[in-house]
Amino acid sequence: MPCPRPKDTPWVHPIGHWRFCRRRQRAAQHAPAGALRACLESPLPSARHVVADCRFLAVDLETTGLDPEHDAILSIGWVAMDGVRIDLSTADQRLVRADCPVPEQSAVIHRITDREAAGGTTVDSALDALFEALQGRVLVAHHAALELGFLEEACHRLYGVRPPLPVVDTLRLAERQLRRAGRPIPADGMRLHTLRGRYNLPQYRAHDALFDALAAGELFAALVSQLSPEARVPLERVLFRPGWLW
Amino acid sequence: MNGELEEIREFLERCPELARLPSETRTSLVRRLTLRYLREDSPFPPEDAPPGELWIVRTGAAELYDAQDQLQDRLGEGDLLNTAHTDNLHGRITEDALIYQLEADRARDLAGRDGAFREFIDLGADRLRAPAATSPAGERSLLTTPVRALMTPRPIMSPTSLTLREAAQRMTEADISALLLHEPGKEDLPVGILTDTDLRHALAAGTDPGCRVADCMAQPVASVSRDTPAFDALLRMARRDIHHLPVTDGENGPLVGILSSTDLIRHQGTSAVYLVRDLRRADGLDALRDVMRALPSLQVQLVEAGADATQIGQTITTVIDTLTQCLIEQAEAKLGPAPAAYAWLASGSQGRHEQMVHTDQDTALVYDDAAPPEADAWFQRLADEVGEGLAACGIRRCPGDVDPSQPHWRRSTSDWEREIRRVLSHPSPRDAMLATHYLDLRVIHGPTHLFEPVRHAALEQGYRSEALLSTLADQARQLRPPLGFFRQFVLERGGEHADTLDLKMRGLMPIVALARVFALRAGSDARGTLERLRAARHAGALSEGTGADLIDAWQFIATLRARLQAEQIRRGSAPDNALPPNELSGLERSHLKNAFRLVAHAQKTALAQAEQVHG
Repeated sequence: MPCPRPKDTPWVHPIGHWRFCRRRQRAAQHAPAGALRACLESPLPSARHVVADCRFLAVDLETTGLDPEHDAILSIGWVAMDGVRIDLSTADQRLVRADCPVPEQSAVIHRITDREAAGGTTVDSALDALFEALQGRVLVAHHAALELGFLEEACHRLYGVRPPLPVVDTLRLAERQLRRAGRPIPADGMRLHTLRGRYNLPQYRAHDALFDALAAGELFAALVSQLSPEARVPLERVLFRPGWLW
Repeated sequence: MNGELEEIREFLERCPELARLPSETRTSLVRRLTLRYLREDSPFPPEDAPPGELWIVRTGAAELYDAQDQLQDRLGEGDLLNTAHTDNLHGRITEDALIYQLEADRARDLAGRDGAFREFIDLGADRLRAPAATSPAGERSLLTTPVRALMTPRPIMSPTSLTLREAAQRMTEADISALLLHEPGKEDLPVGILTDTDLRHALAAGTDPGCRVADCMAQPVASVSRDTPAFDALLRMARRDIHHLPVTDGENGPLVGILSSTDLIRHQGTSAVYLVRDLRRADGLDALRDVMRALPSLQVQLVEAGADATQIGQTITTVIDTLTQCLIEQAEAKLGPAPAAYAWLASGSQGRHEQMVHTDQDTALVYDDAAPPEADAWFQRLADEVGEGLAACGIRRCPGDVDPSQPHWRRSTSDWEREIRRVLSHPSPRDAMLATHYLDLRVIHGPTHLFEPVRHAALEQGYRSEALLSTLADQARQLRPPLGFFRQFVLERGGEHADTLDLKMRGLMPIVALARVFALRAGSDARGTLERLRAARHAGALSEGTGADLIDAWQFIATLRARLQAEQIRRGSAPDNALPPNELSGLERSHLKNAFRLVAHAQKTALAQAEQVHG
């Protein structure tokens, strides 16, 4: 039984928030001039702002495996959200030219072959485009730890910094909602596609970074609408690990 | 590199209303959309949405209501709402929905760049013309085939001076069933026709085979022009109960051929002619009832032959007119001679020549002013006899008592004149129904002079009566077309809406009512809905565009109804007007919705004009 929180206790602890801001400032100072630094310097919405007034970027990474230290990013897809409105004009993705051959297994899942990957861009410029889009926005991803891990690792390798990013994890958000509703959480039931069925969202055939980003964004909109139809819910209620990160 | 939103483009392609846009337009549409997730019971369109936006339902469902909280539309997957054309509508989400939104400024921007999209947005009520024109009629159908393609060319002509035996010999030699006859010396002008039937009758009557054929032939001879559609020739035969028509080159031109009912039957013809003949020959009510059992299959045949609603309506009405006439004759034979001249009137769809197999009786009676007071009892007995006869033949009595066995619908000429004047000059809303019936009345048996002058005088008066026009316009407005209806998947999910659509009440009657107003406005005496609309358009009471829209909408809905009934008959169920929407194809569904929109639009705009202009 989770301990009920007193109503006026903030989800984001002031000390945690102060630490988060400091780490972000420091990372910005160490980052080379460019999109990453601009992104880290961009002002963040207050955690008390309602979701409807915040801006998000739904992101999905396709990778050669699950280990950020050994596996590589294959492609990055994203789409911007104003509040919970997804703006398709911002939908974009980058294929990353792989330095190592694409393992057969992940090629089957993502349908990215060596040849296609070779036609892509460098991780460097893919991240540039991503951080450009991420300025002033909160990242939304399904099972965000994976996205965060790969982004931090790649930035560390390229720029020597691990950027502290505010994140919404749709998997954790869904889990929390199901648990609060007293529903059992089925094995395998937290996968993006299973959850989408639950919220009457269309099933996309495509399994690429762009459509998975879109899928995560739609799921986020659906989850927020369960909390408040007009998305009048404070940002801190939906943030991933608010006490730590913020 | 921009990602490909291929799946969303494919989805837009599947939306019936967007399917007709060029694919480049749909592609540029995709990148201008925003996505919203709206929960069940939240308002739709959302309160923050300005007008001029386009909404496309990806998943889920919504309902729309007008200012009076009447359900106007249900939207399901793939349905579209253009808020520029739906002011005063409000609604709510009935099932959690993912919706694509095209914001107003983006819609304007795209319209500025893309002509196809601009047209699409401006014409919220899309034109039906193209699809309606391409609906069923095949190339080989009787409607499009001119008589000249079916006739036997260069028919054998003989002088009237032949003897009966000589005529029979010529017919046997040439293996023909009818011989055209001309006056000696005038060889391309048939004055009479001798058929197998005439020969048989002559023989049976003991006529001398040596007598002149002129004494036995049928005359005068009805003819058709070679360019007449075969269907019209068929109708002409059915109405006159004849089986041969000489074909001329143009009206009253020289003879070029002869058309027999067999020629028509051979070309997917119908048994309309035979049905009428069998009715005329039937002796007694039971025989009539047996003949009338073939009526449903006549409608099936007509539908299969590609006839449109007008033609089917004309044919079925002809059959039912004939049946009524036969029943009247039988009743007269039973009740003795009529005490005064009288005429039998039909109203409703029969009056308008728009009957289908699923119909009921809307009839009235008028008798001469000179009838003695006790005559009324005889007419009442006649009305009872005929009404019961029609009911026995499968035509239900009128649920609204439009029936000459009711005194209201059985009057002398001058009594009718008073009653119609009363209703048309100061119609109360309660009288609106009566007024519509009076305007559709048509003589189907007996002398027309007993009623036609009354109707003409009434039209003269109604044309100037603002009260009548506005009463009828109000009535026309109350018949709301269902601006939308359930798509298949919405039906399945929301089981309580597993409803059907009444194509007659909700689809045709609104147009019929509109046509009546516009025709009255134009001072036309037409009865048929299409004739009324054409007359109104011709007289300027109805704009070209709206007129064409309503004509197309009527044709489309009425033909759909005829086809629906044919399908029901084929399946062995009783024909009615209830259409289960999920039996429609996506395209038909989309056309039907468009037709309803056109009607709703005409109700809103054109009616107001018809009321305003003073005669």
